[in-house]
Amino acid sequence: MRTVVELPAGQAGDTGAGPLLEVSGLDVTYRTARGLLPAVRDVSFRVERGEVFGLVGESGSGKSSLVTALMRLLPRGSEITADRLEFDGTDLLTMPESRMRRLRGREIGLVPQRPMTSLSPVTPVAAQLRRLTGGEVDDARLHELLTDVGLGGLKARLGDYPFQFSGGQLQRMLIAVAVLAREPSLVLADEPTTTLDATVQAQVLRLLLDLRERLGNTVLLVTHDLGVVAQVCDRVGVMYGGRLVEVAPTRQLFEDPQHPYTRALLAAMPSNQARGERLRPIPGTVSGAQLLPGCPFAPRCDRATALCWEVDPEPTEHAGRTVRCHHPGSPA
Amino acid sequence: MLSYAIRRAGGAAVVLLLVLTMVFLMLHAAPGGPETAYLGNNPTPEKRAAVLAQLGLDRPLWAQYLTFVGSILTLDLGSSLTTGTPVSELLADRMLVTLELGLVAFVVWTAIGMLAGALAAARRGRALDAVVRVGSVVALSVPSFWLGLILVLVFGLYVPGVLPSSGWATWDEGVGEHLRSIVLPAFTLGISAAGVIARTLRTSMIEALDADHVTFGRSLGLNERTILSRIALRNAVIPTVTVIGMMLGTFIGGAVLIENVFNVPGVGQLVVSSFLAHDYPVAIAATVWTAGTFLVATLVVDLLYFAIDPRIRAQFLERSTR
Repeated sequence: MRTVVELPAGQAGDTGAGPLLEVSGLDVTYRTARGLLPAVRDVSFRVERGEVFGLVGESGSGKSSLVTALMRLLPRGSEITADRLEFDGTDLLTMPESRMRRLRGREIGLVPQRPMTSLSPVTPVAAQLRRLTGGEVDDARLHELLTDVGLGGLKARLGDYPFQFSGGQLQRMLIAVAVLAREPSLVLADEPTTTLDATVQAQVLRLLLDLRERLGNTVLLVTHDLGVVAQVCDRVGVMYGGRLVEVAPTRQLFEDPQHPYTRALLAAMPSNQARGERLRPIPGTVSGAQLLPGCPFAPRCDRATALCWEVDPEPTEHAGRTVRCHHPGSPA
Repeated sequence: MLSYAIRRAGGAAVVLLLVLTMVFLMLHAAPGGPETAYLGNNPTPEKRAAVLAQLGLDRPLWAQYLTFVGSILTLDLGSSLTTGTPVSELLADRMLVTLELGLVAFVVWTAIGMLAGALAAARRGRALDAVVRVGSVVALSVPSFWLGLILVLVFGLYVPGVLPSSGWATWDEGVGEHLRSIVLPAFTLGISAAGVIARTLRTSMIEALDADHVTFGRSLGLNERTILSRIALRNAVIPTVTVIGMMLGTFIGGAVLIENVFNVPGVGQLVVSSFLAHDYPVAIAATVWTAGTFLVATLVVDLLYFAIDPRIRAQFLERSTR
């Protein structure tokens, strides 16, 4: 299961100059019945061409909101603001919706979190897959696409409905239309294996990586599974309470975490502890963290001082990565 | 599909028999009887007994019930106790009127209701949505008999000659006249249903538009038109079909109030006159029609479900192969 994929970052698909995705000062706010709810606060990062960028964090930390915002597919009543939101050098924020729509699926592909509900339940899959690829795909090409994602045996069943397939089969179909059919240069994978069986998770992840190797695309992988991050990501961003608290190359992050939350997260991983030793959960909960005026992690942090409660730390360069902490550093 | 239909039809037949039994018992439990129509004021007990014997009403209730069930099974509806006209003849004319009125109101108002609901969902939160939301509440909460009376007043008294406010012109009286006479009763009959349909479809469309598969479709650049008409509507129409089916049943079952307000010679009017006269055979036949249309409508809805929802189809096939 522990198959480490070594891919040279910034090599495959390296056509243009500069990063493929550049985000700076991104805020996502939901308007709810009880007032404004900030989901993503002042997030800045870059995704270089050809790399696999991991985004980790607990549920509710803002990962999915961030990904949905990149596609400009947030529900009504939500607001995106940013100093900079550029894909391949083009500003996504001011882009007219009609152009944004042409970009979706062609330039940026999304692999969704819940494959079981990501196809309409009342239409046969073949018709849907054709529709989802812009109707330009004939039966032969569709079969070719499905064979490429390991579903060659399903040719006779394409008139069936989504509920007649397994989650793994559906996720492969979705990958076929979102990643393979039109080869977008950026693939946003929003916890693509969370709802799948453990044995199928590895296969689906393997498929995404194989396709990436073949097509040379860039992947933004959202996950809460640090094991997956360690295996496949070139760089990682850690989210907490709507903030990106630490961004670092994977190896550095795992070997020498600088933000107290990253350290706590790694300490809570079963594989990082001696057999028989108790797991170390992080005390407290993430709930409400994005509403705090100071550092979102202050209530659960063992290094927190009065300053942390009052002032939200700015991102700073520290030990070769970006950290958002008043007291960063290696464990004492 | 065929065995599914047969199974559903069998269930419907049982329900129909239960309904008929209840109507039979209720008619007999009600004070008075059909004999009063034959007897003048102050009839002698001997005369009353003679009439009852002639009508077969002196026999024990269970014997009358058996005759009644037998006549239903042999489809022999008998004759009116008050006029002697065969019930089948009496019902046939009125069925056609009720059917036509009901179907016209149903088709027109269902189309309007669905269009309004779908557009409101597509323009959620905007002016059109507000208009549909307010309009549908008004449409469904205005009592139809009151609206009918107001329309009779307006078109009969204030602006006479625009539309006939009462009565029913047959096809023989001219196509134009005929169609003009349908307008007001059909309008009044269907308006509340359109309100219900619009609201139901709007709600399920909004729910459908929030579905994961819609987001996934958008993430692949599908345009809103495809999302709305091919995906969201296709999913949202399933819960709406139930409502529409119920409406169909009430529409063609005979609208008692509307037919009486606008003096339309349909089954609804027949129900009232036959019950008032204790005309058992006619009352029973009219009830069979009303209950029957409802059951048929429900059956049609179930079969429609079968056609539009593959999950129901699969469930049924799974059960029948076990």
